[in-house]
Amino acid sequence: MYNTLGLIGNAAIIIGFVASVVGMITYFRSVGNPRIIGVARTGFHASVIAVFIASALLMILIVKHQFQFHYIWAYSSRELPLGLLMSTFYAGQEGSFLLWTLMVAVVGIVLLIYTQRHDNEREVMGVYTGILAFLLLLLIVKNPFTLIEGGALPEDGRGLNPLLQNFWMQIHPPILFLGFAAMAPPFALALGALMRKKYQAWVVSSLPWVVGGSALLGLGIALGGFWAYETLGWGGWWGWDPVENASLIPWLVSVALIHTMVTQKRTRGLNLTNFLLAILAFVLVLYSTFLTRSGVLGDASVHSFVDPGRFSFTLLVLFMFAFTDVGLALLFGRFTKWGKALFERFQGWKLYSVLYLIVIGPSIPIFAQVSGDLVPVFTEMINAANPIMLLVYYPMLWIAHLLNIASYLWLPALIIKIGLIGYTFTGRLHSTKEYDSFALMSRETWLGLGSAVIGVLTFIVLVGTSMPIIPQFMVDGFNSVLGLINDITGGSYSLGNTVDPSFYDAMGLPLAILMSIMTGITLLLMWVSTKPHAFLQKIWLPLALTVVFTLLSIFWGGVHDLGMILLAFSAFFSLFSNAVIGYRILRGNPKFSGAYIAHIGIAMMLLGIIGSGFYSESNSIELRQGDPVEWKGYRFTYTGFETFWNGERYYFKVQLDDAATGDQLDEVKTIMFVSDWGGQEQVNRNPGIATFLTRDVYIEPQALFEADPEGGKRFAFIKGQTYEYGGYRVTFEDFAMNNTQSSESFNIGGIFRVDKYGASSQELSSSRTTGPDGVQSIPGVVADGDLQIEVLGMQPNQDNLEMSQIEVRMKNPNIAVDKNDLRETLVVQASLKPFISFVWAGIIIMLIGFVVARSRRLKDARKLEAYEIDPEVRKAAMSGDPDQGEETPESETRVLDAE
Amino acid sequence: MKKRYLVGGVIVVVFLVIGGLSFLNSSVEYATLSKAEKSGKKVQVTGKWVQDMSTHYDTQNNTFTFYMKDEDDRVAQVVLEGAKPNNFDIATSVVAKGRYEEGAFYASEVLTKCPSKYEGNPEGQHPDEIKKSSL
Repeated sequence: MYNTLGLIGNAAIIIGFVASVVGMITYFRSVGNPRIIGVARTGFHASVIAVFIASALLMILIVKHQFQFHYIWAYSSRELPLGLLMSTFYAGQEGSFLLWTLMVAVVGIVLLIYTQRHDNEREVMGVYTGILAFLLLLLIVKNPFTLIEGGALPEDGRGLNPLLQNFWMQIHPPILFLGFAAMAPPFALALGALMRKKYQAWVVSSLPWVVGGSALLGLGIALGGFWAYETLGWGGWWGWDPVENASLIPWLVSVALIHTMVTQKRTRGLNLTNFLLAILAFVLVLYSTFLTRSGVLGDASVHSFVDPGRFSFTLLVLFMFAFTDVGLALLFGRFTKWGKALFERFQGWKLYSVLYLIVIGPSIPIFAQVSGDLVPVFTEMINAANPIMLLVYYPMLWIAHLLNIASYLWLPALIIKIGLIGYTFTGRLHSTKEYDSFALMSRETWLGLGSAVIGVLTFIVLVGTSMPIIPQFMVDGFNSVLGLINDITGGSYSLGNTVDPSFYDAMGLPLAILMSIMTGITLLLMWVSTKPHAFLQKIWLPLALTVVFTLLSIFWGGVHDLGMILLAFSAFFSLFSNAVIGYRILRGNPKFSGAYIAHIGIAMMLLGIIGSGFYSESNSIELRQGDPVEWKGYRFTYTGFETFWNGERYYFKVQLDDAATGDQLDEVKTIMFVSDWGGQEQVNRNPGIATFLTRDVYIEPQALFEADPEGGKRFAFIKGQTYEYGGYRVTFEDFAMNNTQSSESFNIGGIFRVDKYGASSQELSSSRTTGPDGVQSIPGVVADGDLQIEVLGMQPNQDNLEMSQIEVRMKNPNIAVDKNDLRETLVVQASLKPFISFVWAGIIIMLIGFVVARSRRLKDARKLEAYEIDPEVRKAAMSGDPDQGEETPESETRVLDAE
Repeated sequence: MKKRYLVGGVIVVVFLVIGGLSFLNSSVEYATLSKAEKSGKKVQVTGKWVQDMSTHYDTQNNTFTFYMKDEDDRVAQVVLEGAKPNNFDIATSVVAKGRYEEGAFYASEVLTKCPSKYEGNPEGQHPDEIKKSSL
């Protein structure tokens, strides 16, 4: 019966795909033939329902432990509690694609209602249904309803990776995918506007979607960061890991897009930029998925991946190209002289053929080059034996494959492509001169500049993150050019394969400083132009507060590094200028306060980053059970463990006291346990955190040592290896076996060089003989008598004798050892994270700002439904009171009413 | 009026130049242990953890020591700043980032590549095999 449900799920995906393709085509056809719009809507609805059915069925099968399905067997098991069991829905690739599709379907329902009100349903929903079709095609290839061959029902599944078995697994991925899905409507709205040749109103109707999408994606990213910090114990909440960067990139683009859209709404400028950014935000989501799911970053990321097979990867790249090319073709046709001529000259299939030749055509050899040898793809396709997929995909791949043989083709194709992109970007057909008429010191100008700075940051993260997938031959080629430059200039630059995270810190710092200063200044400026005295009148209060607080953080907070002082200054400046003006707005009409709230949040987050990221201290502490250890004014005591998860997992409890007063502050539960997921044992650790207002004490368990009745510590050396112990540096020089080896006795000896830092070194020898009379051990003792080295045994290495190890115990013989004391020792890495709470509070405030801004933009959109803004009315409305700097309710309503 | 573009252009160009240079400085090459030893630069070495050679966790310095074999089958001691990484034991291969100094590879970071987060390794273990082994 459950196998039947699987079949239905399978069928739902295929039917959904067919319905979405029909829906897409009829939506576009309905532009000239309004009668078929019913068919189009039915197609869309059918595909959405199919996605719901497939998702519900997968969930049922997971909850009912139907391990005959490969996906369910691979990621879930009986021992999981219901919440985590349900989260295995998206623990693997197939399920996470289904989740993504589900989110796109849910968002699509809202978008459908929205577009019906805005009278752009046909074009927008046509594009959107196309996106749904693409995702469903991906699901046909990566199908979660595949049965294990033979159909036998395994007793239990392999289970979820224990690393993921925690609370945030149930929250972070759905929100992140919802954020990914929320990047699709702006793309569809942009393409719809291009098709309808409406270049202004779409900005107003898209803004709530862009702001809402940024909020959701931002929340998803932040939850990931919180998960990494709170549970996974990566030490921090952001590590510039490629996978983190991959979702940050579309978010940055969407944030820049908010600012350029607001600029366009005011000035009618930046048309091309807004289309471009809306297209990019979505395509970069695809790129992000490609980076994180294809295994290409396997060598570069802590989110480890195994190559999932080339097919879905190829498909993702193909659609990335396709969606970009459709957008590019439209921009080319609308914004450039030649493109426009082309669109007027040709119609219907002729137009498509021409576009195929000049826009999409050149992508094919590039695509073939990027996806490499395509032969395995064919094999996989035939194995999958999905005829529909073959039909859709085969011709394109076949051409690509043919062209791949003539593999030199990609280079001219790339040149044509870059040329076309360059030419399109110079297109000025629908740009208005109006934007150019604003003064340098006007809010419009600074919004544009601010977006450019976000753009630079995006570009830097994008290039750095993409580094590992740049083919080696290109890296080599670039390096040979660099070599020539180095010869001339005497430099030593070279290009590697990945980027060190320090690169992002180094680049992010000046950009963050600049951005904070700009968010502060921009909102002090007025629309159109700003009189210097008015500006000075506004800036003095925030500036004075900023100077005071910066001085406080230097002299009282101990911020001494120049970069950090500047960052603190700029963050305080942004904080106070937004707060001062935001406060006035908030008192007037709170719905206009979104931007100020969001900026305050970002400023607070930056302050939190200064504290927690750059002034964090950490130390490795050994905690013998019951023996307190003091560090940084805290007293740490390991008090024992508790079990959970059927007694298989352990909480190791560390009590935290104030060292001065002796008051107990907290008791944190660190987690450490051994799991055998995938048939192999591994250690899992989760930190424990004591949270205070101005800092976190972050305790990561590292290891547990059982009591050793002999005292001291065990070490394993290979020749030449050095360890430090008890204030000595000990190097193992060589084995020294004596010549009395016989069948009865076996001797192991070693020579060690011991030096106390700076003092003269000495040589010790130590040996152990196992004979008929038992074990005889002769330890080596240093001259001062406070270090003893005792041989315990050896581990010979047959392949390489140099790698054989000697095992010894080092201890201070003067310290008495109580052989009955069997208390274990917990080793922890303790860190102080000052002001980490500012990071979380800042992110929450920023998201609140997004929500407020979204509701305001939604109201704007309602007022401007399907309205192409009249430039004359707008100009009159704005020139009425050029001094009106802030978006006070009065001015805003007047503008909107006038329209 | 063109001032705006000038200011914007200057900001963008300055940052791209700084970014480019800092990018070249902080880019990390893939290398083998021998190449790492020769260059002395920060590099990234991919290899396998040699499971039958001992590992050691130094509690005082918080370093984890293990042996890895690179693609040329050369074995070297790796000293990682920090404890044994999560997923280390099930890793099919490891990637160590760091420098080769004084006879050992000092890693600031070790990435583990394994059947994990989003990917299972179905080929490794067919359900039938599990059943067999559990019987």
